[in-house]
Amino acid sequence: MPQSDEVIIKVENLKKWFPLRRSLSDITFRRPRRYVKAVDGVNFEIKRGEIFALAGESGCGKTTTGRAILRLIEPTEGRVEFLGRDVTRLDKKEMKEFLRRKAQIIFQDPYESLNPRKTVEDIVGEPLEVHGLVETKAEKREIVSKYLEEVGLTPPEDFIFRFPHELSGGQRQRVAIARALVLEPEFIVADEPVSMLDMSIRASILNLMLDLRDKRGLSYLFITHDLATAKYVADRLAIMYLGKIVEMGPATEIIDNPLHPYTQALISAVPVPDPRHKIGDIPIKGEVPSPINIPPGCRFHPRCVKAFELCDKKVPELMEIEPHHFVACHLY
Amino acid sequence: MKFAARIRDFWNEFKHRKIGILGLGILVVIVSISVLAPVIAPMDPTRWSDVNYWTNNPKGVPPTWAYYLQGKVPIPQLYLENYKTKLTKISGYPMIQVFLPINYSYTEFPTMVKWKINLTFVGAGAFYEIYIMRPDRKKITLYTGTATTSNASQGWTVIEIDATRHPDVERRIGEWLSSVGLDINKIQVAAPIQIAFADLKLLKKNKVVPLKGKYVFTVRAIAQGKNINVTQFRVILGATAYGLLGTDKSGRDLFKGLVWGTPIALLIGVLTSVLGVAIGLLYGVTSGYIGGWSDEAMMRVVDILMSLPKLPILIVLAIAYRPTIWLIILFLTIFGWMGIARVSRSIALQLKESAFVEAARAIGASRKRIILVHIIPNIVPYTVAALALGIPDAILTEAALSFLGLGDPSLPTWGAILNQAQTGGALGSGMWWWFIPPGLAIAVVSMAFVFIGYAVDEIVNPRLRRR
Repeated sequence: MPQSDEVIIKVENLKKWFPLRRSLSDITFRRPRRYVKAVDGVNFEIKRGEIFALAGESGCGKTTTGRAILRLIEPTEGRVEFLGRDVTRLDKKEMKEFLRRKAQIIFQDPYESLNPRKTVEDIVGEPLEVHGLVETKAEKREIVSKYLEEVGLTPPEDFIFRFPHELSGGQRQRVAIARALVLEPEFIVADEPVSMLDMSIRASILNLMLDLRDKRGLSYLFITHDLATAKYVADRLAIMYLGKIVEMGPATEIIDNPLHPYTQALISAVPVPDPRHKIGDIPIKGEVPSPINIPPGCRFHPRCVKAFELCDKKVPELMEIEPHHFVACHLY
Repeated sequence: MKFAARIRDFWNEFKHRKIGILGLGILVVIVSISVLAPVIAPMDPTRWSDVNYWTNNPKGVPPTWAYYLQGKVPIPQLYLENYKTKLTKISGYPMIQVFLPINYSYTEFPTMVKWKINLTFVGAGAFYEIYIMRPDRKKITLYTGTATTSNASQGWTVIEIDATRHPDVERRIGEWLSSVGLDINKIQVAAPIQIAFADLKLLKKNKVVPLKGKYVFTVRAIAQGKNINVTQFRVILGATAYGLLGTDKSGRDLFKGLVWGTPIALLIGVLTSVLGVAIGLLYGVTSGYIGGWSDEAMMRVVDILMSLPKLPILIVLAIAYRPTIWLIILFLTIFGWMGIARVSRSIALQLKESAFVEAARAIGASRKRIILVHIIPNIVPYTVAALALGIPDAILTEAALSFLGLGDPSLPTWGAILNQAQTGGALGSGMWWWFIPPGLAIAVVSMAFVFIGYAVDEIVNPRLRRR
């Protein structure tokens, strides 16, 4: 694997708080503004050629993290260092010339992420037009064809004039990947890129992403709720819970040897093709609390079976318990 | 290429909707009429309000076919122009007599008797007399007058007398009637001149029936000088029915008015609706996409404009500005874009959060590009129905303004014709051909667009919802 030690992206204390709409009585009684703390202080780094997976239940803030890194939503606080530059401080021009060219995103739902009124050629060629990289239509067609071929849509002539609704889900996701690739980015946020696809084509899309990483040295932030997928593609894995990373380390290590009670619960919930295997050996209590009222101390403690008195008082720090294996839990 | 396929799909759905096809059929007819107007009804539409343009037409007569439906044969419009001249001298002065004979065999009176004489003479002045010789050898003098000139070598005058409505004519007919022992005030006719054509024996029995036989329209003129001549003598007898839709009280051909009203109505409807939709779309999408405080402010502007009473303000504007058709279109547009703006905004709010818009942001597309390339094309299908439904709205509002007499006064709009019918007392005098056709035309054209709009709405909305 063409993985190097060069850190391509470094996220420090990233926060995204969405303010809640204040009612008239809130304003008159001067109650403090309340927030949905979707992402509440996240730290990690991704190396060149690495696939870093961010996993967790829906609503844990993993998608928000991906979007905040690309500034598709504005982060509330924190630093995102991308290729040595602080992304959060870029002005409009730098955003377009640097971030929008070097970092891309692939969305979960290929039925939604392609404009239904555009042909494949227009969709894949749009980044080239926006950045003024092509001058003639012939040039655009040539480059688009090249990338369609690269993502396995061959022969490209069969696809360039099609509309998204004339393509299958897998083909659409390939178009979305081609669109992300035409600007030759170095980093791609893949937001659950296969979760909407049929099982039968998931593997081929994942393999395409792995191939692209090997060929181009791409780095991925791979957002998923599916630990099996994460184990298949990811080099390293971070588990998020209510806006914070609770465990982070090499993907196989985390899945084979989970340390955090939440991770253990998640992994025990993954279906195993064995009729004798009982689901949910490690129980978990109740529902995820609202990210508006985050529990004090360890935010997992109300649901944790191993919680003790320290857990609702002190916020556990993410610490390296084993080499390269970080956990935020008072048990260790 | 693919666009054509989408149009074909749309047509396949559309053609199953009877109401839409009906609307489309009417639309095809309307558009054909508009395009062919110069052929079907040749006239200069800007001269619609020019009274002189219509002066020779019979006034306020019904359509020809309505006459035939009643089993009656209308009198045609008669232009008598082949006059005979007789030159004599009286007391040494030159005298000229010109005659226009006609064998009158109709059972009804002419609706108009209009004289035109072109008189030239040499001398200080000329005296002339206009009279009718009846089949019963009675002579009715309608008018006498003198022509003077400052140029003694060549006097020249054009005498034009509409005997249908001239007070002198009326007085002289009254005098003539009393000379035969009758009272004009006791006789019921549309115009006093018609008595000149009445059978006197029957008139004494209170029956007003034309006397058949040979009438001679005559002008006699004597010059106070050496020479006199008539270069033109014409009498027009007005028809009792005219054309396909009759005439109004000024003699305007209502068929021509109706035909020329069609392109004007289409112009007003289509232009207002297209402009309104375009402005509303752009405004709504911008507001929705930008969001935040500007959205709030822009939508409050929409609310204010929407809550203003449209017609009263339009009336005030129309009174203040004596509008042309373009100004009316502008006013209507100002009040016609808010609905679309609201709808577009709400769809834009949805689309703004959609993954393909986020993808466009991720590749660095500008706000302008996202609005124009990604959002607006996805809203356009929703606006097609609104576009069709906006057309009758504009047509009806313009008709309302014109009916109140506040439209473009120079053009034959349907509302303006209705307004003239109202002021001309068409309803009271039973001149149905004056107000029913324009009223129907407004209704039919509006209906056509409403039908099309509904059919399009049915196709476009559920289909997009299904997706």
